Parts: sequence; structure tokens; C-alpha cells
Amino acid sequence: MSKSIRSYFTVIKKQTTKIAHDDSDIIPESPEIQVKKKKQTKKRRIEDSDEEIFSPKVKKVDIGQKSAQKSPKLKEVTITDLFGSEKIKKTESLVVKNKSEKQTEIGIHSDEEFEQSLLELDTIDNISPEQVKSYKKDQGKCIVEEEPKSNKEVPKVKISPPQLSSTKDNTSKSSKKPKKHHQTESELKEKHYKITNNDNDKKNSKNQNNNDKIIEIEDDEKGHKFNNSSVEEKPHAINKSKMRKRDLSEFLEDDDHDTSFKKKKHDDSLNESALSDQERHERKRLSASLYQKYLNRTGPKNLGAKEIPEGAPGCLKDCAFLLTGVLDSFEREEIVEAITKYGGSVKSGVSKKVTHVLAGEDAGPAKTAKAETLGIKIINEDQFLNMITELSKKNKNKKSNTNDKPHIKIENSDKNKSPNDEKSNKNEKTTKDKSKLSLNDKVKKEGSVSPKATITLKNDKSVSLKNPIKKERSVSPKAKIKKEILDSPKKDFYGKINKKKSEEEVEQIDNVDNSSKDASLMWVDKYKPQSIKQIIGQHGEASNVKKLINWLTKWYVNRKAKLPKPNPWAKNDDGGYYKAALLSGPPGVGKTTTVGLVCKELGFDTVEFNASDTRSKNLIKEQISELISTKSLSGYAKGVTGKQAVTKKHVLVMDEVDGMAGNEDRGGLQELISLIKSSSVPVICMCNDRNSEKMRSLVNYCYDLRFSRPRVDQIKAAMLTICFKEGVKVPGDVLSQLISAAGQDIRQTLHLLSVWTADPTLTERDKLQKEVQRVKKDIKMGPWDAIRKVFSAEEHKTMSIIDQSDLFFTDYSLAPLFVHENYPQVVPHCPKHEVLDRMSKAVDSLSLGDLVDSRIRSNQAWSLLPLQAMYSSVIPGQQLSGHVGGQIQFPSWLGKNSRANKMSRLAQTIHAHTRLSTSGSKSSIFLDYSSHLRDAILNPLIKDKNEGISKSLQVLEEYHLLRDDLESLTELSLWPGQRNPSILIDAKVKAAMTRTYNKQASALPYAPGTIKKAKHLETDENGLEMDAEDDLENYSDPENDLLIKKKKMKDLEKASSSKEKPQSSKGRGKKTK
Amino acid sequence: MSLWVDKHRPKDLLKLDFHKDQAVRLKSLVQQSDFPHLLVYGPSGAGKKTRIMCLLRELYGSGVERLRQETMHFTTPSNKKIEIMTVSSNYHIEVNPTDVGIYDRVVIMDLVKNVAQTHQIDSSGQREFKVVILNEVDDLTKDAQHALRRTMEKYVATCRLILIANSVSRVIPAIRSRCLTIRVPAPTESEVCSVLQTVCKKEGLNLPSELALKISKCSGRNVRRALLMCEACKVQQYPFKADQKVPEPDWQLFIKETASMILSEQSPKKLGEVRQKLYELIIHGVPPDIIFAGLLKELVINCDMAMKCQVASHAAMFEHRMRLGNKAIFHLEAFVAKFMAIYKKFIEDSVGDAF
Repeated sequence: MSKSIRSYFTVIKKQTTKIAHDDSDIIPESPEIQVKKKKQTKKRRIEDSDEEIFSPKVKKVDIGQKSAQKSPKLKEVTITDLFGSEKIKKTESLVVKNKSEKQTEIGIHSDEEFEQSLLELDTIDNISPEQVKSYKKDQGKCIVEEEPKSNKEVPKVKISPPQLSSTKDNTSKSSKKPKKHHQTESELKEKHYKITNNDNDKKNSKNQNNNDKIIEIEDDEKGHKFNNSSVEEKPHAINKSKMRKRDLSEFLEDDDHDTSFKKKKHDDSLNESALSDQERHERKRLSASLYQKYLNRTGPKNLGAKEIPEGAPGCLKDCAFLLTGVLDSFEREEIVEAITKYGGSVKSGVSKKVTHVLAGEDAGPAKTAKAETLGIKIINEDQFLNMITELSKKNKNKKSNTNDKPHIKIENSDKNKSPNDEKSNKNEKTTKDKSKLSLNDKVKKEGSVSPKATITLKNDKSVSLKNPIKKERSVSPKAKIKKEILDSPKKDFYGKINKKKSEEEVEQIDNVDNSSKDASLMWVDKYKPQSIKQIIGQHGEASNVKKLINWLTKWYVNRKAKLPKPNPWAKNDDGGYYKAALLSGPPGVGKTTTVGLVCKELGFDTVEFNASDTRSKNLIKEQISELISTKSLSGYAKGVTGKQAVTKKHVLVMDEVDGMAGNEDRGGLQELISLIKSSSVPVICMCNDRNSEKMRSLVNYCYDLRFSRPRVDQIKAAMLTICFKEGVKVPGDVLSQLISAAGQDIRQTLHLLSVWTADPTLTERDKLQKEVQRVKKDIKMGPWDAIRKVFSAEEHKTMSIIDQSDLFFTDYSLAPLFVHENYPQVVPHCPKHEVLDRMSKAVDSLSLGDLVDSRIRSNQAWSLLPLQAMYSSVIPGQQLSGHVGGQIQFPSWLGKNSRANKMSRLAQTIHAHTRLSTSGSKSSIFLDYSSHLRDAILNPLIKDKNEGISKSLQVLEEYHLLRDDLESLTELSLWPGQRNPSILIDAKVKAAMTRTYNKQASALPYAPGTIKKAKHLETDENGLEMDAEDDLENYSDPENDLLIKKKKMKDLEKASSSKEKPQSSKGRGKKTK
Repeated sequence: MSLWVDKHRPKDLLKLDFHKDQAVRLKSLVQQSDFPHLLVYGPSGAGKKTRIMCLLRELYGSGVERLRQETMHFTTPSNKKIEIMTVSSNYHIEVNPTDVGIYDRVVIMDLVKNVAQTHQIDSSGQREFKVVILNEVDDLTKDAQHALRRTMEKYVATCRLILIANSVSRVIPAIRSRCLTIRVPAPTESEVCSVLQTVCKKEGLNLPSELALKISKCSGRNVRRALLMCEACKVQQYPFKADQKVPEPDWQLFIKETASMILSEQSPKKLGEVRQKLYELIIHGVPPDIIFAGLLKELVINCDMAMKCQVASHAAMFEHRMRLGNKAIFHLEAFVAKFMAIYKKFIEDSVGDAF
């Protein structure tokens, strides 16, 4: 063997370098060199400090070996060595690049351990007792910084499987090498965590001397093991050189895991050379496939099928578990939680400390195999559960075990043959296994190892330390190591404690980070639909989503087609005519979500403006229209070339268009409309109330897509899914109540749900129901709903008087009108003969309410509103408490009032016109004159036909009435059930009369122009807009055209004689035109 | 061809058909070439305006009859532009401030001040003052009335105010005390009859006295209405017959209809129907107080004395509320509901007694 080794030795050097290249092509030579040099430089330092006993030997060995083998290289590399930390980082990154694909879980874990060991080493190097504390703090920081790096380094772990076979060869190289490593490692501070790993590995190897086979099987996991076991083994290293040999063998294995440069430093590299490339490949493949499996593995099949039994606290105190594979009915986290709850620890790798391996489906073959070899119990889920119950009984006995632990240490140093040692091994195993878990889990599990480590170090204090340190990482064992090396227990102790603290802090931070990612997301965002299918209530063929997709996809085609404007009442319009779509609907039904997803699906880029953007006329004109007219170059970015690269496929999304208001957005809507007209891209607008005043103009240019509230059951289904995911239990009926209380607003429902879950007291059904009631109050109520409640005897039972008056305040200007309009429909729950009495009392109260109202309005006495609420809503409600018998009507008072106003305007005009010849006031026009005047004018026409024209015109003239006033007169005097007498007039007579009227030029005492102006105003008020002028011309006479022609004829005939006529008042002039 | 009512309007104080002694007094008042502010009040159709025009004619001569209409523009403190139609001659200006609703105060202040502040340049042969006629003073807002009272004193040298109102009850005492109040009561039925007779004589028609009496009764002693009805009768049927049917105004018929509805059935459903009728009345500009009066008159016909009092007091109460409040319909309906409740109870009781 030794011979062969020698022979290899020279060769190996070259080969090792080669190997390194093979494994990680990118790793430069410099790192290796670095390592060597560092070793040397740092050795000196170590000597200065009060370190290891054997250090001098080690140096010599190292120097001897190195000088023999590597001395030439050393010199070249020196410069790089000096820049410790930076270089390390670089190498790491390189490594990452190389092996990122190959990362294994184990690798990940090992990284962390590396870091920690590094840290420990650092401390060890520098430690003078006083400095320890300050160091620890630094280390804490270091850990934080280095963790991410460590993760990346992971891949290296698997590099060299072949070493195993060569382990024995390596051992021949003798105990000196391990010593070397220790020293070098300790020398290398922050930079060379890898080295530290090596050290650990070596130590571990001692433990596993016997188990060479195991080593082969579990290459992947060894890294971890070594780290953990190193704690125990260090003492051996100090005491026994033999052990070191074994260390060496394992060290080599470790090298596989670790970066290649380590191998080179050590003679171990020789071993590697012995391995064939093929073997390595196979191993890689194996681990890769395992990892793949891990990635793809499913969750527990029967989640929640079993429950973890109640056990006595601390019943698992001395048990260390390794979890592997997928359990049948528990999430891994649940089990971990349970174990820690009962005082047990969870390990991430197989070691002697592990007492049980809890194996599920797809259990890691390596772990189970190793567990078997170590004689660790492999249990399944059910056994585990049983164990809890059983152990909880025996629990008390186990507490005494703490005393054994000091022994463990001793035994370890003697060489772990005691049963305790086995245990410890198992523990280590668990830690290894757990390394497969995500970082968080790892942290916890690894931490569990530490207690024992502490015990080994200090019997006195270990007890106290043990329990709290669950979370401590594997670092602590290493801390021990250095301490042992230093032989100064006190320092070690302090160092440990501090480290623990810092590590715990780090851990906490980690936890917070990870959990905060999820927790910080609102449910609304967390469960936002990711695809069109997930939008609630939009699945049907005729759903808005489908329509929108349809419309968008056909948009460009339709632009060329030039479709006609569809009938507004057409049912199956696909909106082809429109260039814009208007999505309207209540908040929280998914309008914006829909647009976002649809655009995404169809590959449109969206340009969105919402209420938070200023959308004034200018801004829209300049910015948006510019945006729209541009072409997207995103195609180029995606590597598409040619015409397709440039796409106009974007959509302008104007969210919350009904929010375009105020000075900021002045003219925005008008501009938006003109923009839609000229737009070359689809425009999607969204608003809440399509019927609002503001939207009126925009609606005409938009494809109308109305979102209605999804049904309760639709929302409920989605909510139940979410509740399940979040692990919240909300009874179905309460959920339905909540949804309807939220007005089928999905967003609000989600918010409410998440608020509920945040409140731990809300678990009982009753409380939830109360909560729903409370929520209901906050929901906006329309006057229609409110009015029903005002009169509802049912509601009155649960409502306080304040609640009832709140109904009035849903809209205090409308509420009294609603009450007044609808009270006759109410069926009060009372004896029949009382009904009228109650009703009269109710109206009585209403009339008092009107007094208050008038006081409020005239004196701005708004403090009286509550009083009005009593009179106008609460008292009538109480009097007529029952139920509403019919449909709730909108108050007709508003319409009637405006009609009354119109009538009074007409009367006023007539009054003004007839002022000179009559003596009465305006009301006398209403009451007396209107019908008589009308008759005086119309009767001659009806009776005498054409002969009566002059007579009726005389009346008109006498009273200075205009032709239009005749219409007003008839309107004023016409009562329902009466026939309009003007119908009786022969159309010809009417026309003739109009004609003659136009011909006559009677002088008016007033300026008709002003009156006309007034008319304009009136018509404007009636919403007839600018057509008033045309109306004036065609006002009463359908035969105006005829008339005009004839007029012209006559004008021609009488051209000379009728000169004065054009001078007649403008009003008539217009008509003659 | 005007209607009779306007055609035969007397233009001289001495030619007035009724309240002749009052006319004489007015004449003597004016003959002193000066007179205080006047507050003329009385029911409509009693001849207030006619009397005033006669007075002015007496004062200024026939120049007063040359009327013109002007539109005046005002700006409210809130910068709202309002315009109002005025009728004026050289000597007087007549305005109806209630036309502008709540802005009547602005009109009063500006217009009266304008007119009052302009002195006659040449006062020889003319009066030293102008006359401002304000219509419907009782409908002025309180603000406007208060604005009026200082102006009345301040410009008393240059202008006289003649206020016309239906009732002084809503004119603030401060104004009442500053004016000489002249009450023009409604003519008696016989006076109305004589007016009708004279008019018919002028028209060359023969009006049977029975019909004249019928018309005057029907008109509620409102001369304007009586004349209009008389003319309508003539259109309807001429020569007149004594038993001829007098066409009542539509709104009166409508009120009667409503009242009979109320009497026919008392139920919430009927109340809803009545409401529609009431709305219709209001829309057609029938003043709510007239509706109240009309309804009450019709409703109490069938009631015994005790109930009449009860109903009347309720009607008064609700009418009062109506004036204080904004929405007449509330109070009208409250009255109707009240009446229904009372009436139904009354009926049930009497039916119960019968058994």
C-alpha cells in the first residue's frame, strides 16, 4: 500500500490538479495554492498563540510533505493567499457556477456547517480569553454573511466518490497529515471553511473506521456526519495518533464533498486520483436522480388523517429523530413540531446520536442503510405515535439521564463503544437527514445536536445549556473542538455561549425572513387568480371574460371591417364596432383582475392609468396618445426579428374612469373619448357605476361589459379552498353569511377572513356569527334596503333606536321621501281597525319631520338631523311596524315636484305676457284664466274653422301672447282625464292660423328675445340640449315645411307689400325663415 | 278681443261697482295730492288691483295707463344674475318680487332704492313722488319684508309704496304699522250679480237673475271668476237659461272628486290613490291652502258637529304646518290620513250603534 502510495504521490500531484479541473472546471489553480500558503503563514501564528499541543509536529509534517511535494507552487501563489476573505468569496462564486445544478440537500447542509466551523476556527485562532466575547459577536455577523455563500458551495460535496476505496492508502500516510489539517484549518480564518470541514471529517473518520463500507454507501451524507462527529472525535485526535489515521481516510472522503483544493493540500488528493472518472460520474448521477426525486416528491397522502397523541411534556427528551421520506399523514413540520414539543430533538443526518429513524415513503436509501448499519431503530409513523404515548409514561425516568452525558464525552474520547455513543451517532444521523430540508428546518435540527456537544465540553454547565439550545447549530460542536485544542475550558464555555446566542439570533432572523415572505402578503394578493380560469364567477360562455377575450382578439380585424353601430338593445353584440370596452360593476368582483389576466393571456402589453394618476385633458392628450401611437419593441428583446418584433399589441387600460373628477382631471373624460375615437389600440375602461352622470358620454363609445356580483356559492367555493389552504376552519353557513354581508365583494370577504384568522379568539361558531353581524353594519346600504328595514317588524326586534335612526342616515335627503312614498304599502302587524289610525300617526310624524327639514334647510341647522330621523323614519317605522306589502317605489315626489316647477314656470311666462291686460296674480292664471283663455282662443278655431282664425288671433294679440303660449296654456289647463281640445282643431286650420299669426306683426310690450332666452334655459334644464332652436322652429307645427314654402310663395307675390313684416319680432322672424 | 273681465274693467274710482264709499274715501285721499304708503289687502277677485289703478289714474292722469314692460336685471350677493319683469308707466312701477323666489330681497332693495333715489328733475305739474306697486307682499320672505321696512321710511319723500296682499296675517307688523291699510273685501253675492248684469248689458246680452245668482254663488264671490264663468256660460249656451249649468273650474271639480274618493273608502290603498290626486292638484298650481280649504269644505258635509270641529282643527293644524314646512304633499296627506282615521272610526261606531 505504502509503496503504491509513494508511487502515486508524485503522480498524484499532477492528477489531483486534473481531477479538480474535472470536477469543477472553473476552479482556478490559485485557490489551491492559496490554501497551501495560508497553511504555512498561519502555522506561525498558531504557534504564537497558545494552541494545540501537537501543533509543532503538525507543522513539521506539513512542511515536510509540502516542501517535498508542493513547495514550488507555494511560492507562486503567495500573493493570493494573503487576501483571505475576498478570495474565498470568489472561489465560492466560481464553485457555484460550476455545480449549481448538482446541489444536493446534503450539500446545502454541509455548507452551513462549513461556515460554522470556519467561524469557530477563527475564534480558536485568535482567542485570548478576554477577546472571546467580542469574537463571538463578530462571528455571529460572519455567519450571517456567509450563509448564503455556503449554500452555493454545497455542490462540491459529491465530487469525489472514489476516495473511499483509497482511504486505507491514505491512512498509511500516517497521523501527521491529520494534524496538519487541524493546524492549517485553525490557521485559516474566515476564508477557509472548507479546511475546517476537512478537519471535522478526519475526526469523524475515526468513529467510522470500522464502517468503511458505510462510508462508501453514504458519501453524500458523510460531510454532515463528519461535522457532527468531529466534536466527539477531537479529543481523540489530541490523544491518539491512531485515530488520526482513520481521520485521514475519512478526510479523503470529505475531500470529495469539499472543494478540490483541499485534496491537493493534503496527500489525500492521491486517493482521488485512484478513483476512476466513471465512478464519479455514476455517483453524481445517482445523487442527481435522488435529488430529482426529492424535488418531485409529493406531499403526505392522507394529510390530517391522524392526530398526534397528547404526550407528557418531555417524553421524548432523550430521543433524537431523523426524519426521512414522506410521511403518510403528517407534514414534516408537524412532526418536527411535535418532537420538539415533547422534548425530543430532530437531526438532519444519520449518526450515532440518532435514536430513531422515522421513515416514510421514499425514504432516503442512504439514510436507511446507514441507520441499519448503526443499529438505529427505523420506525414508521404509527410506531412513532405509539412511542409518544408509551414514552410519556416512562418520561420521568429519562430525566435522570442527564448525568450520563458527561460519560458520553468520556466514552467518546475513549472511543465510543458505549450505548450512549450509539445514541449520539443516531442523533448525528438525524441531523444529516434533516439537512435535506430547507434551510429553516436544517437550522433547527442541527441545533439539536449542540446540546450534547456542550455536555462533552463541560459537565458542570452542560446541564443548563442542553435544553435551551435546541436551535443551536452544528457550529457549537466545532466550538468545542477549538476549546479542546486550546485546553482552556473557560474560554470554550464562553465562546460557546456567545456563539449560541449569535446563532440563535441569526436563526430567528432567518425564520422571520422566511415566514414574513408569506405572511406579509395579503390574502387578496396571495390568492389572486393566476389564470383566467381562476376568476370567480366568470366561467360561462357568455361571461364577461369570454366577451372581453373575444373582443380583444378580434379588435384589429374589426377595425378593418368597419362594422355598423349596433342597436343598443341588440343582445348578442360582440362589441366589434367599439374601439373601447367599458367594464362596469361593483368593487371587488374582479374587473381589474380580469383585464390583467386577459391581456396577459392574449399577449397584450398594458398601459394602465388609474385614479392615482392625474388624467387631465392635457396629460391624456400628450402622454397617453403618444404612448398609444408607439410600437412595442419588446419583440426584439425576446429575440424575434423582422416585422413580428415590432408589435402594436398593447392595450390602454383606464382604471377607475369614474374617478376622473375634480380640477386635476378636468376635461379628462372628453379627451378620453376623443382618444378612443382616434385610438389605434384597444382601450379598456373600468368604472363602478355605469349609469352615473359622468359616464353618460363615455358609455356611447364603449362596448358594454357589466360585471355583476358573483353568487354567494361561487364565492364560497373559492373561499373554502383558501380557508383550507390557510388551515382556517370557518363553518359553511357563517361563511355564506359573511359573503352576503360583504355584498358579494370577493376582496372584502378575503380581507375579513384574514382578519378573523388573525384573531385567535374567534374560533367558536357563535362568536363568528356575531362577527358577521358586526360586519354587516359596516356595509353600505341603499335606500331601498334601508326602507324595508324601517318598516320591518323582524328587524325592529334586534335594532336599537340608534340603529333605526341610522337607517335614516343612509341618505338623509332621500330617506323621508322614501318613507313617505312607501308607507301606504306597509302592512302593519296590528289589529285591522288600528291600521288607519297608525297610518295617520305615521303621516303626522312625517309632516312634523318636514317642519324639521325646512328648519334645517333654511337655518342650516344640521344638528337637527337626528330629530328629523326620529320624525321622518323611526316613528313612522315604529307605528307601522310590519312588512312592506309591495315593491319599494322610488319617491315620486321628485318627479312631481319638477313637473310642478315646470308648470309654474309656464304660468309665470304667461303671467308676464298678459300682465298688461290682466290684473290677477300668477295663481289667478292657474286657477281662472288658463282654461278660459284657452277656450277663448281655441273655440273659434274649432267652431268656425278658418273664419275663427282672426277671432282667436285677436285674443292672442289682446293678451300679448305668443303662439307658443297657446301650447303652455293648454298644458296648464289640461287635467288628467280631460281631452286636449287642441286635438279637435283641424290640422289645416291650425296651419292656417299659424300662418296668419306669422304674417301679422303685432307689437309686443316686451322683448320676445328675452323670453326666448328664457325658453332656451328651460329646455336646457329639461335636458333637451342644444336642439332647442330647432325645436322652436318646428315647435308645434308638423307642417312647418309646407308652411314655409307657401310663405315663400306668398312672399314672392307680396314682395313689395310685405316689407314691414320682416321687421316683426325676431321670434317670428325665425319662423318665417 | 279681450275677455269680458278685462274688457269691462272700470278705470275710474267713481265708476267702481261696489265698495263705493271706500272709493270715495280713496279719491279724497288722493286729492290732497299726497298719501301715505298703502297696504291693500283682500281676497282675490275683489278688485284690489282695479282700485289701485283707478287711484293712480286719479293721481297722475291717464298717463298711467300707458304701460310698458321692462326686464330688469339684478345680481345677488352670491353673484347670481336674476331678471324680473316689471310693468311701469312714467309715474309708477309695478313688480312682483315673488317671481324670483328667495331672491326677492335683492329685488326689493335694489329696485325700490333705484326708483326712490331718483328725484324728479322737474316736479312742476307732476307729483313729487313715484309709486312703487309690490304684488303679493304676503308671499315675500321675511328677509325681504325686513328689507322693505327701512326703505319705506327712508325714501318716503320720493316714493310711495302700494303693497298688495291677500292677507295681512303674513305681513310683518312693522310693515303693517307703516302703511295705511285698506281692506278690500270680497263683494257680496248681490254685488257680484249686479256686476254681471252691467257687464252683460254692455255686451248687449240678457242675463237672467237666477243664473247671475248661481254664477256668483259658484264663483265664491270672486268677481273675476264670476265674469269668466259668465262668459263661458255664454259660449256654452246662448241665449242664457235660468237653469243653465254653470261650468265650474276644473280644479274645483278635481278637489271635489278627491274629497268623494276619501269619503268613499278609508284604506291605505285609497290613501295612495288620493295622493296621486293631490299631486295632480299641486302640479297644476292650485295653492295648497286652497286645496285644504276645498277638501275640508267637501269632507265635513257629512259630518256631525263634533266631528266637524275635530276635522277643522286638524285641517288648520296641518295647514299651519304646511306653511312652515317645505313639502305640501306631506301635510295634505297627513290631513287626509287623519280624516280617514277619524271618519272610519266614526262610521264603525255609528254602524255599531245601529246594531
